[in-house]
Amino acid sequence: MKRKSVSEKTIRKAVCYLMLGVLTVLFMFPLYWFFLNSVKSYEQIFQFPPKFWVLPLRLENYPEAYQYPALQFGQMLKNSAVITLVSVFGAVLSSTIVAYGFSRLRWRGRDAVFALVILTMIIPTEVVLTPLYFIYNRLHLLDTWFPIIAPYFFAKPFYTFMIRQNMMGIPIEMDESAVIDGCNVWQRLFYVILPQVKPALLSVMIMAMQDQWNNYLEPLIYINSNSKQTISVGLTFFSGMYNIQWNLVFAAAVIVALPILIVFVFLQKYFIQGVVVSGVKG
Amino acid sequence: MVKLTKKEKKQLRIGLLMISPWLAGVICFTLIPLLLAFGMSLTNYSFLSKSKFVGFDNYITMFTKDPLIWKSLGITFLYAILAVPMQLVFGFLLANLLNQKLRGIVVFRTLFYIPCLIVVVSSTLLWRQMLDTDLGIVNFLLTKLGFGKVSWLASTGTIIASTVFISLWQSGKMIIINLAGLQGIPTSLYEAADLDGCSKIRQVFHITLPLMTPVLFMNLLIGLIGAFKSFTLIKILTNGGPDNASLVYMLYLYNNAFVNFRLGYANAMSILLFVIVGALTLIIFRTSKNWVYYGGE
Repeated sequence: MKRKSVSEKTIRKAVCYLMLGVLTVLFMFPLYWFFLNSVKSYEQIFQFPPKFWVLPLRLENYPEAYQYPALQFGQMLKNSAVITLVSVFGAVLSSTIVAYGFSRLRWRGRDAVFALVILTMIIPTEVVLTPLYFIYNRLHLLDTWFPIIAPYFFAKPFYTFMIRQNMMGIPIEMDESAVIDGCNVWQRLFYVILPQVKPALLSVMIMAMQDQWNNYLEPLIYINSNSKQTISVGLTFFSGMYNIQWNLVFAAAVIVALPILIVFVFLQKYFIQGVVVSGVKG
Repeated sequence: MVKLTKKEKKQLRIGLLMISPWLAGVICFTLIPLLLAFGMSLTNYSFLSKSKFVGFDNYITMFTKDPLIWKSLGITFLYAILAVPMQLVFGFLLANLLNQKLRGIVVFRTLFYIPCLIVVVSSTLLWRQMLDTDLGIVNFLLTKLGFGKVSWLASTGTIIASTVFISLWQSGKMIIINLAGLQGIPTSLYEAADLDGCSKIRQVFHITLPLMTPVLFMNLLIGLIGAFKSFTLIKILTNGGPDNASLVYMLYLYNNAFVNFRLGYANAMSILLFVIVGALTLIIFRTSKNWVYYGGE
């Protein structure tokens, strides 16, 4: 009887590994193809039947893409980096403070107002693009980074929600003993609460970074000058050029994809933890 | 009005101070623009001519004289109807697989998350090349397996199928949210079921699924709203073509506002999008009482 259950377990494990294996190949193949395209020569990209590996690797694609004369690649990369860093800072700062107000402080009507936060999470920002464009036009803020960065400083609902869920799990005794020790509201936030929610802060950091680095629609609408444009939009200019070298486009696409991948590799442990702790339950 | 004690007043003041960034953001970036959108939708505002109050003309045009609105709504609904259930089922099943106690499972969890880290513009350019009818790797592999070539980016059906697959490939976030939900289910429930001789399959239907309904509910909401505002993928993959075959709603809105400069009309479209998303959310919330299980919490 016992033997049978052991072998059943082994079969179950084998089936799981088999499914995971097949799915991994399906999921990873496009990524492999992505990197492979970035080290192919121009002719190899359009070779038929396609080649599944190439030697030598054409690594020159990377510097050539970076220095491509018709495109200010380096400048756009820098723009995206600055926009993203500032936005991540704003997102973490503002949503932490707001989440604190919604979790550790008691005040009349708090939970009713928090229900409103959840409600605003549902309204797509796309709905307000055209009126915002009109407003920014009137305020002479078009073709600046303001419209792209500013919303991140006003506690985006989803980030706030994530941090708040984590803060709710901290025992109230921690606040109470800090009050007895004479901590004021801000000291409690920075010295008592923040160290407890590091995984959530890191998750929000990654999410904000990903959201902003990925941002395509807003820069496309709000920014006209190439010298101020972000790399997401820049990349589509590159691919849209007449007679373009696709191997260079792929090298550029890989360069754009790398920063997020690198940060994720370093922070992934905390990231998954942060999401898991937040539960998702309201 | 309830009379507040001095202490309560102070608490309220500090609380409101703390949440003021969110409050200011909602007022400036959501409430005012939303009202403005409605106001502008009653004009024929554009950059090219003087604007004039036209009443509900834009809405009348929308419903009676503009076949592209219906076409784009149809495409968007079709996409949502196909993509959202597939995302839900796929995310749930894969998360269950990734929740097994297996050696190296953490590595697999990371691997399935990676595609959604690739910048959308980059990954879309990749898929555009992979889906090429004559030179793409997808058709090459299909012909090797004995299937015929498919013109992936030529008609509404195949374009939607392609975008659904790409969205599944990049659904890492949904998988992680599912995984988080699964890990919140107490293992004692499964142990008890094991003792009672309940099979693994039955455990999925009688323990996992009911306890996961709040997560599925949230994913349904996020997925549906996401489907209605999808833009970047289609813009880069096909730019709505060929012959408007993949003109999703947001792309049509974008074209009206920023290509044709019909801002009044585009605002009317924004309001319609808001109404549609609001109505869908309301329906989902209403029906959620019947299928979402919040336990004894």
